[in-house]
Amino acid sequence: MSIIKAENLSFSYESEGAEVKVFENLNIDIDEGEFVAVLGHNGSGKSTFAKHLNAILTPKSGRVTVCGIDTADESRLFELRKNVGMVFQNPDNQIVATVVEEDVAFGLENLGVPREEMRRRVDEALKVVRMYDYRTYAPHLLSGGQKQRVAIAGILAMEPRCIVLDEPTAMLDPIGRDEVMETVRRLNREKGITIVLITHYMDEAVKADRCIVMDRGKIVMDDRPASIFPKVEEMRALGLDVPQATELVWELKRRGLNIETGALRSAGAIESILKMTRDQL
Amino acid sequence: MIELKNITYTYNPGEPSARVALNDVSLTLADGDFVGLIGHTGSGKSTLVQIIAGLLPPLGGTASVDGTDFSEYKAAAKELRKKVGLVFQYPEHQLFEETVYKDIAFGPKNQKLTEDEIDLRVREAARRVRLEDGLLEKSPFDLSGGQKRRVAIAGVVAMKPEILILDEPTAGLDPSGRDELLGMLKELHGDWCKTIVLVSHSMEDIARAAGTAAVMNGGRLVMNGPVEEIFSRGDELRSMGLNTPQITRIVDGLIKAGLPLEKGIFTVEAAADSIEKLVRSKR
Ligand SMILES: Nc1ncnc2c1ncn2[C@@H]1O[C@H](COP(=O)(O)OP(=O)(O)OP(=O)(O)O)[C@@H](O)[C@H]1O
Ligand SMILES: Nc1ncnc2c1ncn2[C@@H]1O[C@H](COP(=O)(O)OP(=O)(O)OP(=O)(O)O)[C@@H](O)[C@H]1O
Ligand SMILES: [Mg+2]
Ligand SMILES: [Mg+2]
Repeated sequence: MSIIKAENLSFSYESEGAEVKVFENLNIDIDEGEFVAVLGHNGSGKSTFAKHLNAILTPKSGRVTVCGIDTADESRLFELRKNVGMVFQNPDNQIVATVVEEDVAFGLENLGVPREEMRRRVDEALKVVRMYDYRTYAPHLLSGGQKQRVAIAGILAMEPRCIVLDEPTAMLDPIGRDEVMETVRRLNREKGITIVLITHYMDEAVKADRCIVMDRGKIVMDDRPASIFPKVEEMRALGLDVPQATELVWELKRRGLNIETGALRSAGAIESILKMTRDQL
Repeated sequence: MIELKNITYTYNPGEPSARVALNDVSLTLADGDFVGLIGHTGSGKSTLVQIIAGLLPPLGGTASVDGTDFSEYKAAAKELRKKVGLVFQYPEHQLFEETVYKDIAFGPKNQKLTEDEIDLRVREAARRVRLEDGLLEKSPFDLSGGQKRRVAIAGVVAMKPEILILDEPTAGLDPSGRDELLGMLKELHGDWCKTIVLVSHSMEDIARAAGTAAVMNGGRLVMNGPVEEIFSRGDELRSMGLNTPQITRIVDGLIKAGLPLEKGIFTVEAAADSIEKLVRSKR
């Protein structure tokens, strides 16, 4: 069942009187429970799309429907934002309280959720992102990856059906990135939450079920990671890249070795290379 | 050459919110170095580079610049500011002039260069960061994110610092923008700036551009050496919130599975060379 639907979405920014056209008749359909990565060069329109999903921006023409709510319907804005959580690059800009659990409870207080229910939801959300042990900490004592997980917990506590993450790991160290990606995947697999992940890291995109590739406001690829990443030259022409695992087996093939291409992760590349050496040695 | 010895720094000292950011850090930057500075979030990288650039007085420690010892950092700071150009994180947020040209010219103007010299510097810096000439008269606010980033970097490059430090310059850039930037830094190195320090969370970027890596952990400098040596210590790096590049993990996995490959491979090119050689030699 479709949870996000853009129909003939057209949008432009006004900048100093001039019009900056971003989308013209864009169509996207995402099913409930999908984990979708959105890729594309700088300025291709990824963040502009994300901002349409919780009505930070609304279409100039066409329609965006999320969780059955038309995002242009102002009377349902509150309901929309409860169902669609947003996570941005900088964890410091998203944390408002001075104690971790208060930060997670912040959105709920605004919703008027009763105290006991609030306690239950905050504890549960912190456990899901594995930050329960830090509930009484001051956020500034946490690492970037930990802060980003607290920000995700604050969104989880609202029990959204969909979470949109706009480059959530851009400021994190490698292990912090892994933690956030692992958390996002688990939310998708175990809780069925629909995930829209915008990223410039190709090794994160391979973890999605589906990759949408944007180029100057248009969708130019929309397929499983296993179908798009082996197209190394096409990806490069779009200003993108492929994981090093994919690049390595592709490069060996290009040099004339008899190797199976298509690996997306380290383990896959290792397997293909071992198979090749077993066959050839 | 710059030598920092026993540098310590604490934010909000003496207050309940005090935070030790650097603990007894000693670091030497020699002419010709291209140093990758890595470390977990909050490990002290940004604090350290501001001290190197003469912009933040440490609580303790000394500095020497080109062999002259300064017992007080205050006296060293002036020398450091002359030699070091620092590109802050997300530097495009600090663009402010009405044209790209004026923004890049701002630093050289403060260096009191002649008009002609300033003009040469601006054009050369723009060329080096690969900004087309046509963009110089545009407003920096009308550019794409990647272009703005390059303008901001050009502003520091135009001052022709001996030591160029960039704090996470590839964060948020798309893969081709990131590749271009790394290529550009390699070209600047040696010829325009003697020494480059690149702060990054991307181990792949460090592997591609830097010659040596310095590793911060909890305010201490815990490793410093050739990139191949640092990336052969994967388990230690992981225990500090870091990692090795994916390609190194693949090669390590192949070695574990019994393939006789060399250790210390950290680029796709080198891995492909080494695997190809192995396969062809055995045929
Ligand atoms: N507030 C704004 N005013 C005017 N133009 C804008 C504004 N925000 C974005 N744009 C322009 O709209 C286009 C799409 O921008 P958007 O931020 O959606 O790209 P993106 O794919 O998220 O890029 P990045 O990878 O750099 O984050 C770009 O040409 C950009 O310059
Ligand atoms: N202005 C400040 N006031 C108080 N504490 C600060 C300030 N700036 C940094 N800190 C603290 O000092 C320590 C070192 O921070 P620093 O910014 O140097 O780390 P970093 O390695 O650059 O991290 P990142 O990878 O997240 O950019 C951290 O614990 C941080 O929370
Ligand atoms: Mg964006
Ligand atoms: Mg920093």
